[in-house]
Amino acid sequence: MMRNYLLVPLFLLLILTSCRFKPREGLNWEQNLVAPLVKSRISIEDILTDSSVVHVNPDNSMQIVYRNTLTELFLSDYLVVPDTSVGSKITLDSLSLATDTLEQDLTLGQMARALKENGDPAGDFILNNHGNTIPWFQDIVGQSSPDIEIDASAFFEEADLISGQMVVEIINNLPVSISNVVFNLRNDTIAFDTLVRKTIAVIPPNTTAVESASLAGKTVYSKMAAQLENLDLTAPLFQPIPIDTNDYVRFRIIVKDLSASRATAVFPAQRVLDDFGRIRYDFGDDLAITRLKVGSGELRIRAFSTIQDTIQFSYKLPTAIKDGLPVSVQERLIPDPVADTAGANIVFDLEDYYIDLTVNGDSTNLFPYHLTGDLIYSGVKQTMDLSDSIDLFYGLFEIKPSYIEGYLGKQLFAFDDSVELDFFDAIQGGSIALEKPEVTLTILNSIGVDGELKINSLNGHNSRTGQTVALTGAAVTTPVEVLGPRLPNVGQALLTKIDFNSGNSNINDLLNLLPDRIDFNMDVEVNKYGNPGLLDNFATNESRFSAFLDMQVPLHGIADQLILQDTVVVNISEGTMPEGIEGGELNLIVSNDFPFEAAVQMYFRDAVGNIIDSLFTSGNQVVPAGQVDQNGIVQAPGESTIFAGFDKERLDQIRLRSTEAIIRFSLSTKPDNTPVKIYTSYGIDFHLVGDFIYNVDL
Amino acid sequence: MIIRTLLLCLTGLLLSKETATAQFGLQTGLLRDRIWSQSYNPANLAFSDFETFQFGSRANVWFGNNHAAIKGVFSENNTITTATANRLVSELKSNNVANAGYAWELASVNVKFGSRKWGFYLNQGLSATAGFDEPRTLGLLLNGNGPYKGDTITENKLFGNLRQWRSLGAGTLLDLGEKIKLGVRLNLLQGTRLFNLESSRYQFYTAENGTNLYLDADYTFYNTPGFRSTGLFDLHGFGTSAGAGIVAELNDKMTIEAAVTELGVIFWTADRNTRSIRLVDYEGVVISSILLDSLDGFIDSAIDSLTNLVLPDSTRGSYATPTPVRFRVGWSYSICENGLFNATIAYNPFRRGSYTSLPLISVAYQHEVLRGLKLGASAYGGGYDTFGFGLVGAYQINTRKAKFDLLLGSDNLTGLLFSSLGRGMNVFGGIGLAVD
Repeated sequence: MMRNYLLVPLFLLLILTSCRFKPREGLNWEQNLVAPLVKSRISIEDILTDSSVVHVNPDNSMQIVYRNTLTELFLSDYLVVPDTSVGSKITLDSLSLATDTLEQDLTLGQMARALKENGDPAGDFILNNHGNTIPWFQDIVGQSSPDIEIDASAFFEEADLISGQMVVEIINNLPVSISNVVFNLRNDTIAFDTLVRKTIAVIPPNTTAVESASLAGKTVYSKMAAQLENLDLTAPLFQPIPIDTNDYVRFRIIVKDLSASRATAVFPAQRVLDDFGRIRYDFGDDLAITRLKVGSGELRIRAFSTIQDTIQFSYKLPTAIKDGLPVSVQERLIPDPVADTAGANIVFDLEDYYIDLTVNGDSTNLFPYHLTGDLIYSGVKQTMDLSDSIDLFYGLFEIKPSYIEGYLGKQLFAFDDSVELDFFDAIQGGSIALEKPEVTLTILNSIGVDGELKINSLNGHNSRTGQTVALTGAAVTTPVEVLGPRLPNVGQALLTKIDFNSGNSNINDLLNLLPDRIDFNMDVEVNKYGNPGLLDNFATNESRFSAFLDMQVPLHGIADQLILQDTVVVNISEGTMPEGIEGGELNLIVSNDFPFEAAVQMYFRDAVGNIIDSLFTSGNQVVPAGQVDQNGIVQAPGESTIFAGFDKERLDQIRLRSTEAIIRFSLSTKPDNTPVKIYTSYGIDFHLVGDFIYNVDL
Repeated sequence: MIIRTLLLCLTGLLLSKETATAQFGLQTGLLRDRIWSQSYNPANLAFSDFETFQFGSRANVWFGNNHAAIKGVFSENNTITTATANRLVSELKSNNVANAGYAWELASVNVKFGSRKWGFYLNQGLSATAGFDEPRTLGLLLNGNGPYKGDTITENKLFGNLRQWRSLGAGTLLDLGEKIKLGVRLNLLQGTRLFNLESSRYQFYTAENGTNLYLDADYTFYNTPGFRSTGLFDLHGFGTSAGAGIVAELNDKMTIEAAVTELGVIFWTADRNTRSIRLVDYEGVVISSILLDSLDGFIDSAIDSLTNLVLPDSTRGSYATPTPVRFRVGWSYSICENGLFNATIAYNPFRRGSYTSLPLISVAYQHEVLRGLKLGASAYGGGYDTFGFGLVGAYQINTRKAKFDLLLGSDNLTGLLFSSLGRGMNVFGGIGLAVD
């Protein structure tokens, strides 16, 4: 048995010795992978960065046609419309109350019965002769009447009257005269009160006597009483008198023209506010605007009323018109039942309204308004006094005109600014001599006003070299009159050009600097010679005063080691550049149509800007220029294949440390010192091919 | 990582060199009283030697191809040198097929219920096959496209598949008399992993100066979701398979046997991925202006554009694959009390791409050299390749209550011992326990 057990380790030994393959270490081998990485073409548009500036001439040669706006003025630069705001607290002058009329009749029968009750036999005499004609009438004197109650509570409770009248009409429908009539009116609720007391000497039969009295300064209540304190009945002697106890004396009391300072009453409809005024704009300087079209803006009204009845108010701008209709805003201030106040907040869009700022054509910057408020009859008694008010805040806000007419004043606009020129950005060094460049300062003015342009300075600046060239010469120092259109030529634009050439400036020096920035300082004085009385300036939303820098630079010249350079971010992660890449070659296959010899190099930089490696370790690699014929046109491209080998160590350094790569081309025209033209067909085609050793590790 | 996994699979397939028939159990099937033999013939359950229960576990791995020798593939540092790669490519012909796989019998248990023996089997297996016509297909994989600049490589018969599954089976014996043993087995299958590249084609050209790549290709493959990792209970497919076998004792010395195993189907839930790439001329990332455009991420752009070029359109659906059915017939003769001679024909009838395997014919001899120790040797011809030989050792420690078994062997040792000739290899080993 022991011998059998010894066989177990022999089996294990056999197993172990047979395992040459070590799967935990993984199978691996190397591949040679060839793949195109990048295909590209460098054309002149790429070199000039902004291809939109490249213009092709009929002969397919090229030039830079460049325009940059130096500055622009708009309507909003000439005129800023300030907000207008009017705030007012409007109190009531008076409160009108309703007219009231009361009638009371006193019959002959009533008077006879009163005599009878007082033991006067004349009472029975009259009563007994009803329907008869008595031969004579014995005078009856010292008659009086009981109080006649007057109830005006349907109209008011009480009122402090500023003005008003009580008219008493006594209509005598008795067959006899009445005389020594003493009449009074009083507040019934106040003892010994007298509002009015009147005496009338005689009122013949079938006639009417009228007496009036002022109620000014009185306080009247709804409960009043009228009384005849004395009344005598007289008739001529021996004149037969027909007795009809239904004959009467009529008293008619009319209370009218009541104007109160305080009242609790049912107020009749009445106008409580009527304001007609004008608002003057202050546009500053000497601007005088006659007409304005609103592009955008609002009329805002905010109202607050303590009046307990509904007030309907309206606001009108009679000279602000759109589609033939003036601005008219109407709103009701309906009192809140709890707070007894009313408010309104109104915004009215004034877009496209034309505002005449002349008021009948004899002024400027002025427009009228009309504000009214009407109390609406409610049929409900309310208490008001002259301290009740309507608070109003109204005006025109955020008015942005889309059109103006008038006189825009003498104004000075200064421009001190810079414009970037990016079409030379790729050029990082070397020199260039351009043939016949043309530069023009072009002013396009569609604002209806003249101005004078003065160039204080215009400098070209190359940020890379730090050099600056100031434009000098007569073209710079001479002010230029810039004309604008005149009414009615709205929409017309007038052109003014200032050409810079080698005859009137040093423009060639400025351009050969290859500037990437133009600094300028200019003034425009508007209406320097304008006549304020003509009021013939105008501007629309589309109007501009624009100054452009126009350049036409033929791509014709000599380049000497002109360096084109760009910096690109390098971010080679493990995911995109697997560690399995052991090394290999980058092959740059180039075909060059330009009449430039191109030296090519790529540098890798770390995060702090140190160059850690270059693509071609043996220095710049030269791509030969295309071969030109006797006309200076390239007929055969220069071709080359450039190899850049790298091993894993270099690749790891680039992968781990490089953050940026600098691609640099150094171009020199060939043949030397011979100006060449650039044609559209020129370019550098290249393929970047990777030829890698890749270690597959499973 | 997906690409790495695919490379791993394809490389494993293409570099494996042995016959696909190594898993036929040319030696193990003859150890009829050991539980491992029941995988090759369910009727062997009749010969299992136990009273209470018998347990066994076994692992079997194999790989191989039909043309190239394995020499140099697995060096000490597992590096395939350029010379080896070139030799492999040069030895390939048309109709190249490679396969690999493993079968792990996690637990096999035999018990008795009454007088009837039952077997219960928990297995896990993986089978992978790949094939192609153009040797430079392997060349592209091993050498890259650098050596083929200026060449157009056309491959019209590229295929490959990888299937992994688990099975739970039960088997028993049907009574056909004293001399004839008939065993049957039924398995429930859990599909866990599928990658099946159907017959695909491509045409690939690398320009002489490397400035252009041309690709024209069609491919369709199925894969189960989460291909890289599968959990114990992931169910990407289900199916059944059945097997049956018979062993007839013609006399005291001679027996014949026949068996069919793993006859079934698995229904997969898989993504169907297909793409037609029509003569694409790839010139790299086109940068309109090297001086204006940012180069940041241009490598990512290149990878993205290449990925977009070849990535397929995917739709999920149901897909059925047959199980790798095996047929086996054999004849055994006891030369002496301790020696057994066997001749077997094994056959897998299913097509794999354009290639149909030939039947494998083997002869084997086993001898109990010491008490409990059996050693065997086998040789075969046919199959994916033309020949191979193997060795096996089976050792049993017999106590009064139990028997302990060990198994170690190979049906094909040519790749291991004669790597300049062998095109693959196979190794298996197992343990067993029988309680009386």
